Amino acid sequence: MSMASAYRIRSLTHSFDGRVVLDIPMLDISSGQICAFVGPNGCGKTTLLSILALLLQPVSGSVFLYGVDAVRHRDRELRKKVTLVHQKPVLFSTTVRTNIAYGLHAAGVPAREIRRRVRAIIEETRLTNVADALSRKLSGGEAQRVVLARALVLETPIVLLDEPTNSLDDASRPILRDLLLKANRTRGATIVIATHDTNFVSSLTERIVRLEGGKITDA
Amino acid sequence: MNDLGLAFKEAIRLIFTADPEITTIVWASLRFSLCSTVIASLIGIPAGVALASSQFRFKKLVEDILNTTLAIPTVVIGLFAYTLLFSQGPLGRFQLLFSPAAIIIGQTVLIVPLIASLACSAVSLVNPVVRETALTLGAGSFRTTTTIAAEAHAALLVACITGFGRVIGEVGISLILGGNILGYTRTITTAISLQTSRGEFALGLALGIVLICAAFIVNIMARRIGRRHS
Repeated sequence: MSMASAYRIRSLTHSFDGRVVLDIPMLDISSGQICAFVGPNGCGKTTLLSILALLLQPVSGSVFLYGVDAVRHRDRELRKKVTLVHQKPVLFSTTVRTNIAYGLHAAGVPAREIRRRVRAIIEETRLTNVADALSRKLSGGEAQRVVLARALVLETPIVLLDEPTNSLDDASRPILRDLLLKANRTRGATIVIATHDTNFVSSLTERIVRLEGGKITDA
Repeated sequence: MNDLGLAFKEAIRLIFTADPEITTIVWASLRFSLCSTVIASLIGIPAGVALASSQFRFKKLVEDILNTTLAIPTVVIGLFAYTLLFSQGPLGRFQLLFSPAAIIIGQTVLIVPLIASLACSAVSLVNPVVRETALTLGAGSFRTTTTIAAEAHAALLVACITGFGRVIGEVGISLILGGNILGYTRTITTAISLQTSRGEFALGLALGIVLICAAFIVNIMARRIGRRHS
């Protein structure tokens, strides 16, 4: 496993309406690592993930993504290295299969390859029986699995997940765990999870970063 | 039975016997309204979606101007278009005045701001996570915008239907730019206006009933589309 940095964060701060919500002097996440941000609601986990997903411009500081300054160069090519699964994810108003294939179409993957990868992830996430169902007909657990499948099928080097176990039923949690471990072990994906579910992340990794009031209290 | 009762009875007879004058007028109205709605939708929806999806300095001002144009009376738009299309006007050489094309142009001008404004509102109401999701899945700005528009497709369709409802019932533009020529540019509303001024209520009433039915169908369609996709 390569130990080069996937993320290198230096003097990172962010604020909303003048209130500092994030203040991280230094944090490194190695490539191929599973890292968890743990802390209570409002501790800055989601803000940090949004910055790491290049969706939010921090007020100050720098974030290097594979050595590239991601604050200055938030271009599409850099963004292709990262996928974020939102805390309250949305599915597009179409079928499960089309939802999962969305990112592959955006990346210009050939049609045959899209079919193969979508079929494989549908089987892995046990969504075969709802593959052609409309997204609005799914249960909460199924919808969450579709969102995960849609993110993981892209095989991006980095996968960010914001509270991924929130809407998962008990039966879906081992599926999520296995999928994340597989992505990490077979293709060396860097996985960053923001959660308050310490039980879940402690079964995945020992790298747990504790946040409180926007600051790291234990890395 | 009084005159109104007789006129109403005659109006019903004209509708159910598919009176040729009525069918000609209704068909012309539908053609002009459908054409202008399609053209205005092709302009207004991309414009509204683009406005909602973009951030620029004078965006609020553009939205205010767009909303202001919704309140312009149809006769003013008709008059403005007339000055462009009459024989000595800038577009006079095309000889479009008192033709179906003139009505379609005027009606298109009338509802482009309406459709654009409704499209802008519809797209603005889409969950912002849709945009972020599209971006994090690697979509470029065009695909992201079309994805957001697709999420608002029901509201965009309702915007088009609302535009159709607006033009089928307008009279100022059709009268000024069309000239109310029977079998050519006479629409439901201009015919009602003419018949009323002549004191011949039966045909006017029959056309009024058709117009109300059309508005009713349009409203039901809009409600059903909105409910199905909500």
